[in-house]
Order: sequence, then structure tokens, then C-alpha cells
Amino acid sequence: MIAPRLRDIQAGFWGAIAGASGIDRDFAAAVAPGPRLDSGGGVAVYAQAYASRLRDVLRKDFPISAKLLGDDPFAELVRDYLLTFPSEHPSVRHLGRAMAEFIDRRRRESPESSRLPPYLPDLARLEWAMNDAFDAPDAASIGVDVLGRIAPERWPELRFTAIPALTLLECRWPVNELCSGAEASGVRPLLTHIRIWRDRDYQVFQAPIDPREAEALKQMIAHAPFAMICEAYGDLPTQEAARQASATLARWLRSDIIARVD
Amino acid sequence: MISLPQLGHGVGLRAEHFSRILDGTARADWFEVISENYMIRGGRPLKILEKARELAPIALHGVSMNLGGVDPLHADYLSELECLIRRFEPAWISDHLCFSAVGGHFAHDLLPLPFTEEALVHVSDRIRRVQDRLRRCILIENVSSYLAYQHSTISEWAFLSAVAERADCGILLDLNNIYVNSVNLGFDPLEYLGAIPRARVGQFHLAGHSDAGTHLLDTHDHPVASQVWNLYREAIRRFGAIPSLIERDDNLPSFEELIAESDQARAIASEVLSDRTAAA
Repeated sequence: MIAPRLRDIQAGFWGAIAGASGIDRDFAAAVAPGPRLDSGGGVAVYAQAYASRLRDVLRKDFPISAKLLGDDPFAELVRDYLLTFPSEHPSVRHLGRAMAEFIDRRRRESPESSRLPPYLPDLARLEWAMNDAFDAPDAASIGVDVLGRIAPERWPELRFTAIPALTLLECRWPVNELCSGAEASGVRPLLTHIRIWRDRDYQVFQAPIDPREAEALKQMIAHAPFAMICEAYGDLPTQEAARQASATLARWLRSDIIARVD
Repeated sequence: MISLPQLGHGVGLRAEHFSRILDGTARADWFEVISENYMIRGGRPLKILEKARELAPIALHGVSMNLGGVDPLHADYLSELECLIRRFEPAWISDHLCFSAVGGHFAHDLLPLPFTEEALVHVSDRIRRVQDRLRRCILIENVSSYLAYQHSTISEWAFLSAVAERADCGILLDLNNIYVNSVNLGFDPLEYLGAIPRARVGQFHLAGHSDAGTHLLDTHDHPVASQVWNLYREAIRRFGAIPSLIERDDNLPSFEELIAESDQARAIASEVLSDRTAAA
């Protein structure tokens, strides 16, 4: 009998723990029965460890999604996800990157048979955005005092740089409510903009914002001048627009989401 | 001959103990951290690691270098590791004698190699390339196993020793893994210890395991077992004063309990070494 090559052993091992069809015959023949576990039993230890370890990782990354789905449906989701999106990064931190896309695709492809609730793609996007904010690059935020030193005539041209740990999501469901403990049965579709950010104490937050602030934030992130940011409030009377734009800017500063002003 | 600082008796730093790092009360001779957990762009964990580094020396312990894999060495991974080395100046770095990725996909597990001449040449060459790239000697750790291969031609201990000699690297000897494998695969753990070249051993791992009935599982969720403490005594007799590390990943006790286990390692080492000196 010719000894199997290292390459074949590793391919067979991967198939046995991560594939859909279990242990192939050549790999099974290469594994020796042990004094306590037969060859299939030894492989099963690794297959079970692969499934449970990565399920635990994804449960930590998507805690609300996992809780609302329940143990068995979440395990089924993870099993199918890993077949489509096995880990491609040495750090398990990146394993769940495609989860929202996978859920969305799965619901579209089999809406009748899928037990995945319609809010789940948005909820997974929100939870993943919070993970991204957790370890996004550091950036010191500026305080209100910095703006106080800028001459009023320069304000229309001011451009802000957002901290890297800031994301704006547009969701079809108010999934922020689910993160705040709302009953899933009471949530109805509603276009919702959610701001996700990390403050200077490394705490990650999420909060819904109204459509005007969402538009203003989009402009700020895109590095647009302050005059263009204010256009988000252009449908309001002039004084009210100025008041709301100023209040929004003050809120952003208090939240530590502006890293720089030019 | 591996030459590493004598750091004493450390503990694995886990997120559950971050608050003790922040308030400066996490006292240990040294900390070992999982390299991949800090391969991130920013945020609290890196800040905590900076603080830990101020409190004590650290060692970077990797789980995904895939030293035994047939995929190409992961260039981005090594670049990120180099960044961590530059930033945190670890006392040493270590990874495992196993494979962990296949066809670009990561198992996030430590999968056993066959103990063959082909694997020996392959993994030794990769360790040498990693050491050349990082410009430092690394430690390789023996892993726990739940299966063996029909076509293995040498023992695990002979394989580990030969890899270390051929690659000119150090050995991180995990005594719990030796014990777990001795039960699961049926060998004498003292024969294992007796075959390891003294000059290559740079660190010991001490950890707990679970009994799954048909086999032992390397779960790191219990205190160090008495059989592993006994093996540690033998290891100290054979290898001398080697830095030890308490590894705990699940069912984490208080920081004080971890330190108590670390102190137990210190006391055993001290007792064995003084007996050895008296006997000489």
C-alpha cells in the first residue's frame, strides 16, 4: 500500500470536518484505530469541535440574532453558512463577515421554506457593524472648543473627518429596537437609519437617527463641506434648519465621532 | 541551544481579566496572549495589551500560522505578526506543530500531522522560513490529538524532537497535551519526556482537560490535573528551570485562582530544583 501524501491527508481531513459529505474512503483508511477511539470516532471529535467552536464564535458575534432564532435554527443556519462561507482568514474574528448577505440570499432563494424572519438580514448587518466598530482603527476625536476657535465666515467651507469607528446603516426594519430588548413579534417594517460608533472609552453604541440627520451624516462621512451638510435640513424654515444643523453637530461632537476639521 | 529569558511562571491573559489589567492589579511574572486576538486595527484589546506590557513581559502565542499546512505560508498573517512584534516586543513567539488551514480555508483548530519523513521535511522547512522572515527563533508546541495515522513511521516525540533539531527552533512543551495523548493514543508520557532534547525546551504549558468517557479532551476548562502536575515534576527534573504558563480558556476562575495555580507551579519547580541541587 502506498502511503498517502501530506496534501491528500489534509484535503481528506478538511472534507471530513467541514465538508457536506463526511469522510471519504481514502482518508478513513489512513486513520488508525486508537486504544480508546476507533478511527471514525477520532475524526468525529474534530468534526464536532469544528462545528461547535465556530458556532460559538458566531453566537458571540450575532448574540441577538442567535437568541431570537433559537438554538436549533441558529445551529442549522451556521452549518449551512460554513458550507458556503468557510473561514478565509487566520483570525476567527472575520468569520461572520458574510452572514447578513448569506441570510438575505437564503431568504430570497427559498422564502417559503426558510424559517429566517424578515428582519434578520438587517439585524445581522447591525450586529456585524457593532463588531467592526469595536476594533476599528483608533482616532482621537475633537472637542467643541476646536470649533469655537474657527471664524464664522469659514464655517460653510469646513470639512469634517469622521472617526473610523463610525457606520451609518439604512435598514428596512427597526432592528435597533430588537437590540434594546423589544419583542420580535411587535416589530413592523419601518425604514430606519442607525448610527453605530465607538466613543473615546471604547464603548460601542447604536442609535436610530431621523432621515435628515442620516443625510447630514452621509455628507459628513463623505467629507462634504458644512454648507452641504446643512442642506439636509433645507426643507425647514431657515432659523429652524440652522438650529437643527447646529444641534446635530453638537451631538456628533458629544459622541466623539469627529476626528478632524479642515 | 535555545536561549530565552527566564520569565518565571505566567498566566494566559484573557478578555475576562481585562479589568484587572486596567486597574493594575493583574500581577503575574508574565502574560501569554493569543496573537490572532490582537491582529486588529484598533480598539480596547490593543490598549489593554499595551497596559499589560507595562505590567509584565508578554509572549505571543499563535494558533493559525499553519506551520504543517501545504498551503503557502500566509504572507498577510506574517506581516501582522511582525507589526505585533514591533509594537509589543514579546519575549518570544510560539505556534503549533500541526496544520490549521486547507485550500485557503481555516479550521481554527490544531489538526494533527502524520509523523512521516515527508511531513518532517515539510514542516521543518516552513519553520525555518518563518524564522528567517521574523529574524528570530520561534517555539513550536506539541498539540493534543484524538487520532493517529496508519502511515506514521515515527513516534510523536521523535517527530517533535527531529523537527526542532532540523528547523533549529525551540519547543513549547505542553504537558497536558502529552498526558491527554498518552491516554488517547496509548503511550508512556515519561518515554515522551525522556526523548525531548533538553536544550530545545523554552516553555511549558500547564492546563486542564475533560474526560469524555471514551477519550480525554484538551478543553482548558479545569484546573491542572494531578497527573499533569506529576508530569511537570518530571519535566522540571529533566529540563530544569523553564518558564511555565497556566492556560485556561473556558470556565474561567478569578484571576487570583489562576495566580494560585501559577504559584503552585512555582512551588513545585522550586522544590524539585532544590532536591536536584541537594542530590548533586
